[in-house]
Amino acid sequence: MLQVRSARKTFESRGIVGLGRGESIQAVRDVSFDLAEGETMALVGESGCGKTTLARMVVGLETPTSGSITFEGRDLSTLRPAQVRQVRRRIQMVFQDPYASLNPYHTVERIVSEPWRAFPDAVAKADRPARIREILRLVGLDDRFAERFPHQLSGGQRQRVGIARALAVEPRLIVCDEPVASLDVSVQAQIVNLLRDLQDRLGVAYLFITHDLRLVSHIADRVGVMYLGKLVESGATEDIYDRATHPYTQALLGNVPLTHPWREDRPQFVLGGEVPSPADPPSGCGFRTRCWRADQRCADEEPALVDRLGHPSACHYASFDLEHGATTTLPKERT
Amino acid sequence: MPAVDGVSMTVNRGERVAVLGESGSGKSATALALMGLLPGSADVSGSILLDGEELVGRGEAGMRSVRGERLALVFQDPLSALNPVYTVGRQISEMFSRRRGLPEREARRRAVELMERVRIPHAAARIDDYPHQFSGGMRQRVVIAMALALSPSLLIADEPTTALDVTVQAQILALLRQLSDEEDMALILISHDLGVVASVAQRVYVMYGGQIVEHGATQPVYDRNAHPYTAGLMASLPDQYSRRERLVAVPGSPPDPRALPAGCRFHPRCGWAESLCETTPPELLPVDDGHRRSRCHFSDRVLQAGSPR
Repeated sequence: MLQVRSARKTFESRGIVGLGRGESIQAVRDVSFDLAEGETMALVGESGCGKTTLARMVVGLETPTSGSITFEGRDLSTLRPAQVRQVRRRIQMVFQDPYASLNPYHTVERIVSEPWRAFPDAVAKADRPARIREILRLVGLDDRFAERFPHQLSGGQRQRVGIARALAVEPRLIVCDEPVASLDVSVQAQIVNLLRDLQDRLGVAYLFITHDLRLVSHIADRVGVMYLGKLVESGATEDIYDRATHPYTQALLGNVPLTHPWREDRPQFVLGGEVPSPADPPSGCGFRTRCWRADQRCADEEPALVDRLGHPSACHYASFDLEHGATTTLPKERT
Repeated sequence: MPAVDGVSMTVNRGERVAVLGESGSGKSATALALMGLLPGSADVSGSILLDGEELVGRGEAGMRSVRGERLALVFQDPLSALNPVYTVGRQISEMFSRRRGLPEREARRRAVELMERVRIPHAAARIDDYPHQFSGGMRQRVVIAMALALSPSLLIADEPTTALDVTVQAQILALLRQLSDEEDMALILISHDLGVVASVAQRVYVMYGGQIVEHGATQPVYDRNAHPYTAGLMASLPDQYSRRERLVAVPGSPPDPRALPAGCRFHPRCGWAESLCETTPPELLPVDDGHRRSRCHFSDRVLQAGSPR
């Protein structure tokens, strides 16, 4: 359904803080992946890895500098504006901060019907009040909520409204950008379960953007890990969690704070260093400045994302081996 | 409206304690009360003792001599704690020159030393950089350095890694663990993240609706929950081993502090609740072997069940 091919996005600086005029930032570098009907792909990475820029390109908020994005067989960059609109209707987005993305002066009813202003033929005028209530019920909100304003809702309810708005034009793909990151832990699970239920009922596909690896295993069929604008490893969820071969994926998994560290046999490890500036990425492999496996080859030769040990990985030294440099001890028991 | 209600906690020298809670639980209000940083409209009653000395009722002038000296705070957002127009070196060395009266050169030397202690690479070369020239993780190290400057006996860290990426978070948590050991400094970590709490704290206070609902050593509290809220939090947390399984969600939302439920504040979301819970607020009572406490009428049943319902 969705094919992203060698997508690249470069932002030219006009002299903002920290960057001189004419310098450029390669936010997304040659990313390719496919997403099938009804499937969930998670893009995982830390801030600045390019995952949000990539999501914005898929929904059309950014245009790729080069490469192509094809949706249901049509290359989005070659379409005429009128055709683009029809494609856009089928790709919707759910944002991280439900508060910032909902107009505080509008009722829930008005917010959910917002997409129909852009696509008036989506639902006949006479059917709209009933349809709004149907959509609200679909996301677990009863009729009373139609008249409310965003400030009268809890964070979880606001995010349900954001999801309802995305559903109003019956999309086939919803791009979810950190949809639960700003919610309380006890509420996150409700939203994740809701997204899964909606997928079962409506067959909608998700491109799920997140920094939280713990969540991903509950929602994704496939996972792509991004670092410094590139996809460094991708595969089925099990490939990434059980058989990660790229040291960055292994570091990400090893850095998630464990809820029961005393039950684990693996040590919690700490990856040193920081993400290099995307304005001045290292030569060769982008991760080599923090990598415990890196050698001269990694500086000279950029590793390609190709099948290594069963699924794609962009590491010359792809390995299941978890040996690494810095380990830390668990908190000491104290009574 | 009471943001925090009858909270009692202790932390010993060199010990790491966590306050775990969601939005509106009162965890941050507790920290601000400790620091004497609540707005004038806030009415703090009760007692806050630091090394046996009463902090409540000291007034702003009295607190100023305690803050920084013996009690320091690290916030979630390091940028808000740093002045953007001064170099980090100046901001750290001011702690020594203003508060300790050290001469400029000596204060600067101590600033470099501190930056090294919080593992800022090339500290001597970076001392004249401005906050915006540092990454989020390095800025938080600068803030931690400032907090440590006057060797406080207690450091309060309020969501210190929430704004940071997971690999940087792990670095900062490791740093906090090391520093509390090295300096024999007590640490109160305030967090909503069960994993962050588990990796740092030896004891944990779980807060809900402005009250402590469960307390004990971290491992037993996590392994065998005595309060349905703790059990619900644990169950709702995604973990990477239960693939594609449906998460067990806690229904509803955390309560609005302006409209707290009668009886037990958790009862509208609780699978264990009975009519008693709707009318009678439970007390925080010893459970299990007596080293732990839980605020639930049915703590024993919850402990026995070992999982939420």
